[in-house]
Amino acid sequence: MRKWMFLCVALLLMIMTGCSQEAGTGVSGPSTIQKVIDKKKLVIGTSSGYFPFEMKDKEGKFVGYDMDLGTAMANALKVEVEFKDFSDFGGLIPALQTGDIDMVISGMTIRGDRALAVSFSDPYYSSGQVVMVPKKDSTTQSWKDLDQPGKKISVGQGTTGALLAKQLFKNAQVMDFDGFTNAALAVKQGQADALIFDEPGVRVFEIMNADSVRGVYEVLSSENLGIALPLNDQATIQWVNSFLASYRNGLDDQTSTNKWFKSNEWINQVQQQ
Amino acid sequence: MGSAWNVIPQNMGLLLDGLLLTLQLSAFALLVSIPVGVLLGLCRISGNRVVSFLAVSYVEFIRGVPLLVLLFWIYFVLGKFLKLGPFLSGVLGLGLFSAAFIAEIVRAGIQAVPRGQMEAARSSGMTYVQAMRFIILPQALRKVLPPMASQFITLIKDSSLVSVISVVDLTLVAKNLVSTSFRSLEVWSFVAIMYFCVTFFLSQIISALERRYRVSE
Repeated sequence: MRKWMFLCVALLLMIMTGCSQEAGTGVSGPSTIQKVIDKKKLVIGTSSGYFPFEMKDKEGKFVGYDMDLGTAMANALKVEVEFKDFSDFGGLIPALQTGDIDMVISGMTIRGDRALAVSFSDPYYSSGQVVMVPKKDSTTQSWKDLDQPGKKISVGQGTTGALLAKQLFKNAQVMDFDGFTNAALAVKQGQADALIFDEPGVRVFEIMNADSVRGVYEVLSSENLGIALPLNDQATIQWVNSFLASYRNGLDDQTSTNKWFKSNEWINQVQQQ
Repeated sequence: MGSAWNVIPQNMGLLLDGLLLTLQLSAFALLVSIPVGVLLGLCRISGNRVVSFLAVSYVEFIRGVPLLVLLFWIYFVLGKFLKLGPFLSGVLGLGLFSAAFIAEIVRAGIQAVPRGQMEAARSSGMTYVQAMRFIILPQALRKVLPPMASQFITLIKDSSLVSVISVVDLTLVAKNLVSTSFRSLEVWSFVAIMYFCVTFFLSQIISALERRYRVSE
């Protein structure tokens, strides 16, 4: 019986090795955009909880700046849109690689290492990483003040803030949490001394929790957010870039920017922390 | 992109560190759950109504709550006051969760020993505690070994959930590796095999134990 078991495990391994050779190669056959048009549905991967880009309102519907962008794209294609939620931000690129989703719009920073695995559209938003500390910490002015043994820095697993924090902090301890919400909660509750995250997300969290946290707006990096698309799918990349060129700073984009970044009225409509 | 499986040997150190933490976490959680579970199991069948009610309540409550929720609760609610930290919260969460299932296994094991055994022991002059210790529990032990084995294996597998409260166990190492290398298929396949090796090794040990006890029967 044991012989059979090892045979099965060996067979499983062989199948896995076989599969891996297909992963990561360029796209063949019809482009993703053509497939979207044919099935009349655009499936967008996202990771909710990143204010004000992707959030869920009280009815559980996706809302936010990225949702407006995705919906406008689906309208331009005359197809239906579906947002798929990945609580684990790090699971988005693998899901795009396996074709589970057509694209990722999730406040994703355009980064060299990611660009080896997926293709990026032109940037649609620019931001940077900042620090957030508990309100009772009134002394911290810079990330350098936090780089001491015993200090705990919380980050969202798989985010740019996580990578940056691991490079910056030589003495402090970096803690990976499952998503921004839990990482921010750790700071709010006093289990971590600071959080490294994108500026817009920190600004909104500070507004919602003004009595317990404080943002330190020393920008640690300059980042461009892009739409992640299947690797080397030229037709899709070109279509998305053409769309962005006409969408950016247009009427819909201005309405969306005013709604999500220039006003706080939407905060009551989304799920409370 | 190069050979895709390179990602495994290149990060072997990290993966082994993660595995070590998973093993430590599971071992400490076991150390918590066995005494608590056995005690709860004994309380469950106790003649004292209050004691057995408390034990039943605990078991029912824990069994009715997902481990993930329990971990978040211990870390974010209880941990806020007790300053537990991620590792201790993980040990406590896993240990208390597993204890509820061990309690049920112990109860079933004891109840599977024929009632006459206890009556015979008591009538030969033993106290309740003596009868439990020398007559009932040794017989029950044999019966509970197989379900205990699956409970221990479940515990090791459940330990992967602690990655959500920033314990750098094997699963979190793998998540981080996937988010920087994007080799999800290779990393998760290898990690699955690592978990399997540990649980398979454990189940072999327990089968050996079972065989040993069967001889003495």
